[in-house]
Amino acid sequence: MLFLGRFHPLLVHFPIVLLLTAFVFEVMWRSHHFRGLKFSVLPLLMLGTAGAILSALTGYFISQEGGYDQGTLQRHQWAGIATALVATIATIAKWKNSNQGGLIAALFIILTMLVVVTGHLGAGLTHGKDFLLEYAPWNRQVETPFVLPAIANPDEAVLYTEMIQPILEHRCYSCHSEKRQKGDLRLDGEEFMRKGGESGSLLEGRTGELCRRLLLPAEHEDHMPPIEREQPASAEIELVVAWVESGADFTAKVGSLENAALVKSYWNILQAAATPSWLPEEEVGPGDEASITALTSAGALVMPVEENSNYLIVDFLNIRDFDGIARPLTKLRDQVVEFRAEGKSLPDSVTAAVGGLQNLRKLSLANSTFSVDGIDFSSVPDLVYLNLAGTAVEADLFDQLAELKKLKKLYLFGTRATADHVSSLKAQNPALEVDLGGYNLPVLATDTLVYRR
Amino acid sequence: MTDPRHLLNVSRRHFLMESALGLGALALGTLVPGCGSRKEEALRGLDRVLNPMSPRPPHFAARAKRVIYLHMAGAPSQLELFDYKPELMKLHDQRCPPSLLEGKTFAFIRGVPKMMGPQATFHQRGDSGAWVSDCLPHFATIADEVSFLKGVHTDQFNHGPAQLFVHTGSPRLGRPSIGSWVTYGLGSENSDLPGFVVLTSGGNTPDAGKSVWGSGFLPSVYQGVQCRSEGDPVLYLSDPEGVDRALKGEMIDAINEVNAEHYKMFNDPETLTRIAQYEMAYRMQISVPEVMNINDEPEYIHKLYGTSPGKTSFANNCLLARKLVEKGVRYVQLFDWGWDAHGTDAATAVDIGLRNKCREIDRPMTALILDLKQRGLLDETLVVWGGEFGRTPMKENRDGKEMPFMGRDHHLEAFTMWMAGGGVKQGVTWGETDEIGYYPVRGKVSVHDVQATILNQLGLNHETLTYQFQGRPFRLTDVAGKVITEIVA
Repeated sequence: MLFLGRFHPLLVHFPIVLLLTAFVFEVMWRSHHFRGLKFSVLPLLMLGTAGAILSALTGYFISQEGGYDQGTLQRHQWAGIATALVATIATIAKWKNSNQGGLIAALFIILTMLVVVTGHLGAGLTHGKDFLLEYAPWNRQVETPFVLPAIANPDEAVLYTEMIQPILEHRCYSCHSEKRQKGDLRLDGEEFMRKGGESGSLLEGRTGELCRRLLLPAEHEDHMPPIEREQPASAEIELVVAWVESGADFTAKVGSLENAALVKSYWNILQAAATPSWLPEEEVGPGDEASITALTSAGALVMPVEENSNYLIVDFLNIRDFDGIARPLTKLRDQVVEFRAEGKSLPDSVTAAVGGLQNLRKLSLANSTFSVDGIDFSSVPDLVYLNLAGTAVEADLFDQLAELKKLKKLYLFGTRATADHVSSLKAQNPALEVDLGGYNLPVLATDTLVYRR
Repeated sequence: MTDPRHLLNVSRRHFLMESALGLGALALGTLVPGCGSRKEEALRGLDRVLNPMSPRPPHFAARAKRVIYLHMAGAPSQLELFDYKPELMKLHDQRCPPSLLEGKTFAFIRGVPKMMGPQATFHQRGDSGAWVSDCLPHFATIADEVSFLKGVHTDQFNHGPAQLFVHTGSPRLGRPSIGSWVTYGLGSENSDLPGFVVLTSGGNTPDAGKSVWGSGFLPSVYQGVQCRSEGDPVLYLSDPEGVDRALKGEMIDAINEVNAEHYKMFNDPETLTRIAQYEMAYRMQISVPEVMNINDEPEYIHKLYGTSPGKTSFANNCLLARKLVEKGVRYVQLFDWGWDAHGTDAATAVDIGLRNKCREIDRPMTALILDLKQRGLLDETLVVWGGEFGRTPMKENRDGKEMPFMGRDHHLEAFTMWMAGGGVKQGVTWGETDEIGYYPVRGKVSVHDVQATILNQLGLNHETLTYQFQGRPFRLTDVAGKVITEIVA
């Protein structure tokens, strides 16, 4: 039986094509160009019906192997039986009386719908429910890197629920959960994991299927997740292995484990990666070509932040003459997210234009001279990085900087800023890192100590 | 063209060059198809030929804009610097078990060597608790700034091939170095300076020679430019005696006019590259000595780095590296020679010579990180530190004999590297070796993984940054490499 069942995936394609073709021919022969097709419909229908019956039979056999989502399987089974039945009726009707146009048309329409539904359900069983439309334009999702949630006190967290389950959910559930059970394996629950899959039990130390397959080289046939899928970071794998080695307890807290320090070090590595992108989330239209050309021919570097992005990084590194450069810069006010003019003597027209770059996220004017009143920082509220090292910024500027609530990094080395300014800035924006610089390394005896034999 | 004398000048080479125009036109036809994004792609390809160093956007938003790679040529001992193995101390002077020797090839160890415990005192440093030995007292204070990779491994046990492997992705000659790939992928920001600069110290250039900063099969404009901190920064760049800058300018103009004529005749894009190179060399005569001059740095900076102008030293090179990245140089490669601590004499003993080498780099590399940090440059500059392999937990017994000094042989299985800045996590240690530091037990990463990570920080996908050569696309990491996401912030 199982032997015959394996022919189901091969056979199903025949009735689908034959029955759909029969329907198409049935419509086509009504045009006098294709009158000849009239005689092809019945043979197609007969072959298709035979295929449908065989498919239904082998389908029943293969379903005995198990490992399929029960709900979808039920629906696929009944739709399949209905297809075979309606196909038989349609064949008989067509055979007996080819003139009862209304009945034949109705049967054909029902049959075609059944074929489509059955086929779709069947494909859902093998490829997963959301396979067809996974990459449809309206389903497009921004890929976010996998990060474990932040936990205040990892010692008190249950290792499985807080760390292991999220990894399995992200990496494995698409094939091994309620949706699909490849290899007859489910990982979405303790009982399923204790049961294992068709290759054997899961949680027996490093040699159990879970660790073994994760630890195999990605090119190995048995490696999981399969090489075509996005691969987990080594720290994710090591964390799962550490959990299995600690006894694969589904309720134990991290602090109670023998290898708690190891678990915490992996967890630390995985959850620290949550630095959000500094780029604006919404898209922007392309910048004005003429303005980009004007800036570039004046020597400015104008560079998309990445391929196919309209957001721009503008750097005045190679510019010596600032005539007529403010206007094109202003025209790109929506696109410029990073602006640099370091070690330059900036005219007011340029600083005014910089203040107008409303999407600006990073700004460096390090070691440049400019009139400080020229920049209105309140008009660049999204700044996250500001480098004013080596500039002649005045104390009243710091009040303005306190208004930049999204600012993360501020560089004031070599300016008149003092520790007092820093603490008042940090009081208003605790997330802000201010670097006043002026680092020193102590003179140590070992600095000059020459070792000899 | 009607002058028959012209034919005397037409050689086989000219024939090939002229027919290259026709072939080039054919190629152009395929490069510039009729529609859509392919056309933009093709135009970008053309731009890369005509302006090889023009800046190009990264594949994805970059975490780092520039790289400073500190290579300790000769391979420093991880067991005396970062990889603390108290168990190895207990085994000191005991004979090495055969299981560690079977099937292994060593450069110098013969027969059965003895184990050797760490010859330095270790402490956990900073909030991260990273282990750093007392060989690097200054660096120990900034351990929280860096990500350590404790389980790097290689498959080359001789310096030359291992250095080539680290810098070109292949132990054999002929592949482009990381800096060449990076300037090929991203171009150069500063139009007056080379995009890839190499500085050496320690009295010798690396064993693998200049190929470690060569451009391999990439166009030669992408090779590293070696600059010297003593004498002329770039050889043959300054004007010869009796030639002033104006005359040199006229000379270059004249050469470029001839070249422009040549270009009109043959349409060879390499000619345009040549013109651009002459112009750049002319500008570099001013800009390079300017950036390579550390005399004007304030006293505070000299104290911080421990620099003394006019000499060749790792300290001077660190300061120069900072100045170069500040000016937008994409890739700065430092080599410091003299780390091959075999214990053949006092200078290569792990308890004598190695400590002296550590003293030479400790303050400068720490100062480099701090100086980049205070200037806001560390966020965008990836600093990489490492050797070409590690050192054995066994004491070297060259030719099977007991040696007068303590040394360690070349070790492939595990060594330590660190990275800082450039979108790398702070205060993370990834990878762990076994109790004696022989094999990685967790977080094993390959040389290709490190290279993939460096490119990743610059916004380049190591799998798609390719160059067509000998009928197939080549890449830095060949068919391997995985970004070490564990240390990527």
